[in-house]
Amino acid sequence: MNSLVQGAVDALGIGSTYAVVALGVALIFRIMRLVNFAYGEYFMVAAYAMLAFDQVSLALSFLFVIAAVVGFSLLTERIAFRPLRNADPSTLMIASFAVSYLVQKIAIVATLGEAQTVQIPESWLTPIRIGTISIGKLEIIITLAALAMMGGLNVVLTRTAPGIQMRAAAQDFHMARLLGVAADRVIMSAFAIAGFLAAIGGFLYVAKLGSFTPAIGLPILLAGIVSTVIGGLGSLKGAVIGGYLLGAIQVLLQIVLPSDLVAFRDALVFVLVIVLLLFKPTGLFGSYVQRVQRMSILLNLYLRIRPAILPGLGLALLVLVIDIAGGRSTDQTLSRVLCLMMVVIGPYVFVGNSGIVSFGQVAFMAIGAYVTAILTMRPSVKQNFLPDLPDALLRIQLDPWAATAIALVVVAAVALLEALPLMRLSGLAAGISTLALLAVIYETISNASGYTGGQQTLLGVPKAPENPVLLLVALVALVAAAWFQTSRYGLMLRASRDEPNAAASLGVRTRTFRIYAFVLSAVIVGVGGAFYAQALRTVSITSFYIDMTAMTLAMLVVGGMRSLAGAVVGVAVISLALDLVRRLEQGNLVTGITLPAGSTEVLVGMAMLAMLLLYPAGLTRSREVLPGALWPKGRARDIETHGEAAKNDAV
Amino acid sequence: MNYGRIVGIADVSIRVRKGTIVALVSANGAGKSTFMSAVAGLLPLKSGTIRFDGEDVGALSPERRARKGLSLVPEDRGILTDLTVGENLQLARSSGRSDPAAPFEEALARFPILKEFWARPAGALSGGQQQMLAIGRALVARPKLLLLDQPSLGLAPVIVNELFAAITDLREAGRTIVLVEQFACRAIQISNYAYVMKNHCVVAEGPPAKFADEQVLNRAYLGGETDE
Repeated sequence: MNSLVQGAVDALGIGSTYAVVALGVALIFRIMRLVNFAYGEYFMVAAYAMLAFDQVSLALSFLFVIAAVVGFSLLTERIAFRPLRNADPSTLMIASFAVSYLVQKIAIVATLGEAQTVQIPESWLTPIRIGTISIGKLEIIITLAALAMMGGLNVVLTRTAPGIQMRAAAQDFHMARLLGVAADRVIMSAFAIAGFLAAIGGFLYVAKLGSFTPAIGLPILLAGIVSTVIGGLGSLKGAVIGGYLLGAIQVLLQIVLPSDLVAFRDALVFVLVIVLLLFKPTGLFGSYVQRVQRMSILLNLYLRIRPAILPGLGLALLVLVIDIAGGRSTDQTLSRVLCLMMVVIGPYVFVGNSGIVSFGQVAFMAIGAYVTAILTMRPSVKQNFLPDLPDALLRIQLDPWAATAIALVVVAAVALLEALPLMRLSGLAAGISTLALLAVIYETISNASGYTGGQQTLLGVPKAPENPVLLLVALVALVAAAWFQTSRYGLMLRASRDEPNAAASLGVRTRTFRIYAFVLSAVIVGVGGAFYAQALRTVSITSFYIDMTAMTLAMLVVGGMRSLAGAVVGVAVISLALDLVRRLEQGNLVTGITLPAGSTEVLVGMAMLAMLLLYPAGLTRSREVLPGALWPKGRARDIETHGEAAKNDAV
Repeated sequence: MNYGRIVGIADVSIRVRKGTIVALVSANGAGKSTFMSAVAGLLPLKSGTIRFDGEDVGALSPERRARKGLSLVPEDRGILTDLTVGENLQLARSSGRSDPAAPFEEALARFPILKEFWARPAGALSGGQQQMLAIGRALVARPKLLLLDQPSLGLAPVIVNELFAAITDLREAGRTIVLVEQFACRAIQISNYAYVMKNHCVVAEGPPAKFADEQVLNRAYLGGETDE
């Protein structure tokens, strides 16, 4: 019980410091959309200013700190931020980062980075004891000061003309100016107030620490930014609550964590922040629309990759579990599945967005695999298998990564050549012609035996990267797919898929966007093929034809053709099912059941058919699985809906 | 008295005399709002001049122009929804032009609803009430020239009637007004002088009587020859 009370007291002290910092960060952000990374340096300036008079008089020292920090705050505004006032928020943020970096480096040069000690009266530091609970006097002061500053700021903002002007400018800078609010003055007042907050916060913070280095600003800045993010950037109330929440979380972790994990406390806090951002990208407080606007940069990034987040996490988790449970025995299966993931995400990019079924994407897998094989096999082996290759190619042996990169380029070129004529077609005609092209490439490769080994299996492809690396590549493919589908091109393409006439009337150049999607799709498949060759260490044209096409299509259909989540779910479900069937085919000692050989293909066909008949939109109903949708209110769906079109998804 | 000569967009030259309503009408996209923003100082002037009260204000910031007595009520009304109605009105005192003794008297007398809703968040007002607040707020600064950008936009017909009556009243009280409108006929009716814009240019101008014949307005709108 006592430790709980002690914890609460500690949390209040830390939280008050954070709340003051967060308030300063939020105030500046509100008024000019600036995430001020230099705010930590305001604290550093406070610390150095304390050195000037700390031996003379604490009161004098205090006043000097206020003057110095407010002056420094106004200086940063005048020199760095005023010229950039109309720049976009990210430019401003980078500028503030530059200011922070520069000032810190100057301080390091000037002081050789040595720690400095501040003289504080001994009586300040002896805590007050009530029973077993000890309360630092400085903690009491900072808590009271924080409350006073919050109250004061509230009065200023609601009761005084400059305060009302500041709030007006925060909401609509143009309109405030039209009403006669002087832009420079209102921004300077915000910086002055933020500087004042930093001066008092810094004075008490440094007094408590007793000594400091030029790097003092960083932890305090991080705490400030984390608090404002928790509270919702720009919301003053949220910033204060966020500050106290952060203090409470830190103290709680300090108490709860076993002693050898306490060092990871802050890492854990940041993980919590990331998780919070995943579910509530706009923080905990403030109105939804306001928060959306304030967080536009982060939010935009988040919205762009959102469809990939949960499928990606799921995939990573699955791989991890299988890897740990299965050990080495599942290594190769896992590599194959990860490659297949790319081979399925690829077609999804095209099929899901354009609505055109393509049977031909596996051809790009073949090209990716063959290019990689040809470039990485040992010259002596190539001499036997591929005698007709030009000399240069015969003698070359590249690093697998370089070979994969070249494969990517080759695939992109071939895909572009295919797409230029093909993407004029729509619907069935397009689907059939992609099948025809698959056949063309299959026949070409299997008959150009001098160049490709024909029907023979090529051996001696170097081993693929370890599974964690493959997982990373698959996740990149996942993010690329999400990025495309949330891009202007992706949105327009899907508009043309669902309402071709309406889209065309709005100027959507369907063919162009289809070409983009087709090439991106081919590239992802091609990379998948390149790694597939490395995972199996062999390449055989027979593995890149109808069976593979059927399997990838089945995966898409089972999962849901029109959602990225569907592609991932499809691969996972079918792979797990197939693995089970293969084990049964080989005879399973535990169950005693043995399935006839060829069951896998039957299962693939049955799964596809059954899904098409019973759940044409797939297991995911062709909806994305979005982080926001798991949140009780499910606001995510407001912004982006693409489930409706899935109803008539039968192909 | 000559209030100003303003050259905007491509070829717009407009004069506004004290105590009159000048209507500026056109189809959408002709550049009316751009013109108004440029006059208020939100957009920089590429060329041309804005003379106001005998002074060139073309290079001044929006807030300086506001202090000289130019008040724009923008198309979106510019209501600060995070603030209360009262705070919105107080904000207009930033211009330093309000009557120190009774800054809100005229606005509240003209739009009593604002007094009633003084402490409410401005975002809670209806569209018509927000328009009253926007105009009332402009009046707090006792503008020498009131620029009204499409005040009738999005309002119900009955509210639009009240609005036009209020604008006419403002002139009777001696205000000078530039009225940009899509309701061309009605705006011209209450004006002392009207300009018709098309493709960023003024294609016709004259007193309302000139446009009484609908043909003239139609031709100006549709791009036929005018007798200018």
